[in-house]
Amino acid sequence: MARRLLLALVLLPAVVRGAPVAAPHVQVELLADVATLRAGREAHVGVRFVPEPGWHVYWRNPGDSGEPPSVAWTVPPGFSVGALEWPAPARIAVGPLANYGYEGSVLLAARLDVPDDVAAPRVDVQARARWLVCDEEECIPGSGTLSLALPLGAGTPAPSAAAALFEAARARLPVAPPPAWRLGASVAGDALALEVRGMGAGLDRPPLFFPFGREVLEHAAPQTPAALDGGFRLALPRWSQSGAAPTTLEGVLTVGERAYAVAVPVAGPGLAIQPLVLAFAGGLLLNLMPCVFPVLALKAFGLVGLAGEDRRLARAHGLAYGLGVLVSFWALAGVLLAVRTGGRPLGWGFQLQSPVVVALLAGLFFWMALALLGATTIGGSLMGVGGRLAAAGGGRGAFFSGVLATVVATPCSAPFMGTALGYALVQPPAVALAVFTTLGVGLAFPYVAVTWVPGLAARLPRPGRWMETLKELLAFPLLATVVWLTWVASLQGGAAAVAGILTMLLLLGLAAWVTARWRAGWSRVVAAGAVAASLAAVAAIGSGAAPSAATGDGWEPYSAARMDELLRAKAPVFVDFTAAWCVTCQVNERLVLETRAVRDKMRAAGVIRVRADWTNPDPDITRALQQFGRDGVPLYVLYTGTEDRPRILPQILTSELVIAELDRLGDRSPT
Amino acid sequence: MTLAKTPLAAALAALLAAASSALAAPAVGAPAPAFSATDTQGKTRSLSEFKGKRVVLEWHNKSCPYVVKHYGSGNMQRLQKQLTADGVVWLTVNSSAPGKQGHVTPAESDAYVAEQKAAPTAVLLDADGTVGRAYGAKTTPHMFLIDEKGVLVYAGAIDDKPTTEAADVEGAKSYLLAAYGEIGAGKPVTTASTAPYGCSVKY
Repeated sequence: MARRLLLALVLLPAVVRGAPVAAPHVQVELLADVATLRAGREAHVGVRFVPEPGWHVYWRNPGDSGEPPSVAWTVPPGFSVGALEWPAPARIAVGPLANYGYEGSVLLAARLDVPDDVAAPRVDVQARARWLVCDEEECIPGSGTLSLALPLGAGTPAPSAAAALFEAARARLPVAPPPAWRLGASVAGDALALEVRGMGAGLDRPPLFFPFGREVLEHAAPQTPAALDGGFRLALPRWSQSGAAPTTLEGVLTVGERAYAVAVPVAGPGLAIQPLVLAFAGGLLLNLMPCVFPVLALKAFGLVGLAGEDRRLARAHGLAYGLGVLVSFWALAGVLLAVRTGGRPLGWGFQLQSPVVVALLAGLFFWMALALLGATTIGGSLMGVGGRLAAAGGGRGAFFSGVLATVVATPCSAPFMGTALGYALVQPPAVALAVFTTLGVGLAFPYVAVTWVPGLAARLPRPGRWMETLKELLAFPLLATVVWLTWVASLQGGAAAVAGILTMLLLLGLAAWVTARWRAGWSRVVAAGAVAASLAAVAAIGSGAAPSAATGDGWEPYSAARMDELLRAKAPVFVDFTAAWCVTCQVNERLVLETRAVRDKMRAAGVIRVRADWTNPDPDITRALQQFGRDGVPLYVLYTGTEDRPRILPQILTSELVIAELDRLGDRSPT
Repeated sequence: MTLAKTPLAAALAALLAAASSALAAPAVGAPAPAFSATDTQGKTRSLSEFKGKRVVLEWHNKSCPYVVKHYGSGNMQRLQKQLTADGVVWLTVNSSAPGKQGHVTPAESDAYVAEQKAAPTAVLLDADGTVGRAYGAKTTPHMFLIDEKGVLVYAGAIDDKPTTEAADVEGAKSYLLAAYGEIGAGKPVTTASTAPYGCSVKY
């Protein structure tokens, strides 16, 4: 090292430089770009780092680890030194981490302002430099005081022998982007999207963005460019531990040989649009789910043929109903957010993880079916069984039918809802609330629309005897829901739960019969007694959850430890996140995953099938779902064993789709 | 480095980065990832075993100058003693892979703890990096604080002076202690996550 230093000094005697410091693995020296200073003229001084091959020093943002060099200047009074000018860095991968720095030599220059009235023949510039030099393995901090004596002269300052180094460093400094460029940034889920348009020519090399802040991006995550018309969009994965996105994206963008300093305002909640659209669509589709449809259909038919005064009443009812839905969704959101703040892992459908709640819902659906069949009149008005608005108990009645619609909607998860809710539950409360509100608006929308737009109500079919028939017919989807809920409870609480539910249904039937048969006050007392007894039957189920959902033939139960093991062995794994109470999950399993074609294909491809059963609470599974940005089931994940990231399959599966995904596995080579 | 080479190097680096999967850090405010690892006594320790207690995770590599700063100045030992005396479980985690800097045998680790008069509850040897990856541990030191409910309440730097100078310990704001004080007072943590500083974890 010493000999090499000596050699350097001998070979370059004319360069204006102080004595270089030969620190471990890096040589550090102080340079100036001029041979002589002149009063009133600015010059540049700089600290040059020459790391050994394989070693690097850091940029102003070192990335995941490391530390940027720092320089404290000492100059005579009247002189001043500007900020360090940082050439564009390189991205240096260190295992699963990434650093930003310089693997070759780098000159960190700074402007030196020379006052007009300098008398001394010589100026001493001193730099106290501190740095960290690292290779893959080791990091070594260093510091040194470097000094440089610069003569003052008249006339145009002559460039020093180091001027070329300053020139080269300047060429690597980021510049302002060309005026024709249009830059934009927005938040897109877990990433920030940086867009550049108006570049004209296409990209010759992948662009890279280096943020000034450490807590902006996941530095090691790949930055994915996509071509846009006359430019590109660069997806920058956000720093995963920060909740809020930056308001301005500041840093250096390298495109080919050039580096640009950019500061782009990040567009606000444009991001939230997609989840909101999904939430609205999900809410809308909830209206068609078997648990909600009967309620809504009847309420809508109640509007048929209304005119004048009744129409105005109908509008008020529509709003009260909408409010009922929204308030219920806010209450649900409140519970979920409160529990989330408490840190308990929880997801959509959590309410169904308790067999008591499942049983109560079964009772509610059973009662609604009784009302539709005309076996009881109590509560029927909420569903519009009376057929007349006047009977619906005014605005309060309408409000509570909104609440009822939400309650009966909870066992159902419509398509699109999962994605929207999964997004909502990892967002700040305000955004989460916006998603829940939109979901509620979607659910309320059809009925409110029918009450407000006369044209729509006119399109409903004419009233007649068929309405009575349809009303009774609609009791049967509700009874089917009761059967399903009983099955769910049987998996959670075993035979005791089934007995409890059937006892409750018996007592509810008794209550309905008594109130319908005798209109006297005492009949209500008896009915109330029967309902109370039925609740006691349910309470007897307790919340003691039994091990649930039979793990079908050839499926391994999920555990975090087993997953680790399989993934480390690079085995192809298909994970079915499911629950007995999730209808979509059951449908996918029956119609796709358990079919012979899919089963054989999985076996042939050597795919290990893992079933993550979320019927009962399981924090491991909740956490796994959260890692995929989901808060509910179903979720289908295929680890290929060869690709870094698992593939996420859609929530609605088809055999063709699953087989096509498995076919693509076949490409893997046995390396 | 020549000008022509730089973009190529950058592209290559990007490619390498893409090939090795990035670490996904758990969200602060969410349940801390479960883990189990073997300590220097050969005992399996897992997060669930400390339910109801506050847990500190400290990523460690004795040869890293930033770790040397905090042990050499006695700062880390002071924090360990202060918090463990208060009932906190302090787990020092070593994720250095075999053959990489900072990888130690259990005996070497125990000798280091004795020599440094360190006071962790246990030292976990995470040579395959499982725990480190689960937490997205990036640097040594990298600090994590988990409350008694198992929620990750702080992740990041030990303090606000990202240097190797022992003199900087004096007067630095300890993010870890600040977070600990706040959860003790039942308050939300003001600075719940910071960028950690130090050497890269040698996975």
